[in-house]
Amino acid sequence: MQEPKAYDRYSRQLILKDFGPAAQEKLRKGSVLIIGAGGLGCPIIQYLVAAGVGRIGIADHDKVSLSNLHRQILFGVEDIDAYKVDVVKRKMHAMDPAVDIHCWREQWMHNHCLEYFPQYDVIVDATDNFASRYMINDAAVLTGKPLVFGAVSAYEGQVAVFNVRPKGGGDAVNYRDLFPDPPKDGEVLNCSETGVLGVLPGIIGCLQAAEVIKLLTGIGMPLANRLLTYQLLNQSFFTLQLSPHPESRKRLAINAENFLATDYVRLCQVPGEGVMELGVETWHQQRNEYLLVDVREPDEQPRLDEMCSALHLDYVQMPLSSFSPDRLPIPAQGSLLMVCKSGRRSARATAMVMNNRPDIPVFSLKGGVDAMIESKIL
Amino acid sequence: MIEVLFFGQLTDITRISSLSLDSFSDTDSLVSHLQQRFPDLAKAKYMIAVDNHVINSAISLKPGSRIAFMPPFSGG
Repeated sequence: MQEPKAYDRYSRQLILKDFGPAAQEKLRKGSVLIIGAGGLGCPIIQYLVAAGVGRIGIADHDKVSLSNLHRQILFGVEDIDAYKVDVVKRKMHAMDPAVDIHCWREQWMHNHCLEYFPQYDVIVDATDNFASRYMINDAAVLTGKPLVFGAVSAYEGQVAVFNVRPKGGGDAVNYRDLFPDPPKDGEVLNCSETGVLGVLPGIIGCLQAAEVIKLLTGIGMPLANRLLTYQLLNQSFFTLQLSPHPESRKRLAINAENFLATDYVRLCQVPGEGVMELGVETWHQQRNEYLLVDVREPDEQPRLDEMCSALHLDYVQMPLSSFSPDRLPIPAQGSLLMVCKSGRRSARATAMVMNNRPDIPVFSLKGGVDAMIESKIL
Repeated sequence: MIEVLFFGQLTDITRISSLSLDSFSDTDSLVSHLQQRFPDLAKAKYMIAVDNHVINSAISLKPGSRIAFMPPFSGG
């Protein structure tokens, strides 16, 4: 902070009331681990580096794809197929060569949490699935680290700060105090299934970055024990006061061994193993033996009716959000084949049919509509 | 009267984000009324907040209460 250049660089926040060189120094000495370098992660990383946070860790095993670009605005067409963390590191070093950045390109797992959480001041959940969110939450509780949570759903977003005692007093809460058990896979849709307006994760990511800066510097009132919900369509914020849930402590990992033994992916999986999956090619060869049941929501594209009428296939729509096995037509011959975008919701629908209508033979189309497109059937 | 708010994907079920209802004695009776009106709500995952405080078990409701139904969000 002694060099005049540094003063110039951060002058607009240094002159802020209640900020000054002391807060700037806390940022420089601060360290933040961001898991997920997608829609939420991009703005979080950019603003934290710009603000002068000294050490940043970034984990993401994905590569940049064309459909990322509308919301992950750190990336351009020249970055497609490159690892996100490699692009982020290069661009952040261009923004500030002094920032210390460590990246992980592998899938973030239990052992990463236990090894690296203790090395950072603040952990940021910028992931896009419940298995990761519950794993990160439990690890943050176990390692006693502040966790800045952010998530989006269509036109709405949520932000909260966990494992931090509110300034007014009281016990700190974590994500399990909101929802003690994870939803099952497919029960709550993610961005690739419901869609998202690009600016929304930008807004939520900026709110998360603001919480990180408050935690590192001590300014303001972090969202400890509060859940902030943002609604883009009417530009409104709604804040809920959180309190410890009696079931939360029973669900948390009690020690490192217990945590390492928890299979978070399985916790979020569809109940009812034994769902029979059918590959796209097999279905296509024997397509007249199946009644296709599209369990996607009515607005989801591409629609299947044209293909079905061209191929003379029986086809019904029954979105998972209002799915009722009792209302399913009984196929005159052959079986029901559930289909969704990726094969996750159709597996759930298949399990529901198996439980409620054991008389009907039912399968789930593996890979869903995505697989139909990939194999050029659709 | 009480005000009921729905967030996130719950509005896919209810098709509305808020509604006003005559008073209910407690949150349990409100939930069973809403599940009759919107049957798929029974299958949905959400938490309930009364006057901006999340509740973990049923509590009594007063006229003018605002009850929020909040699901988990997963996208990023």
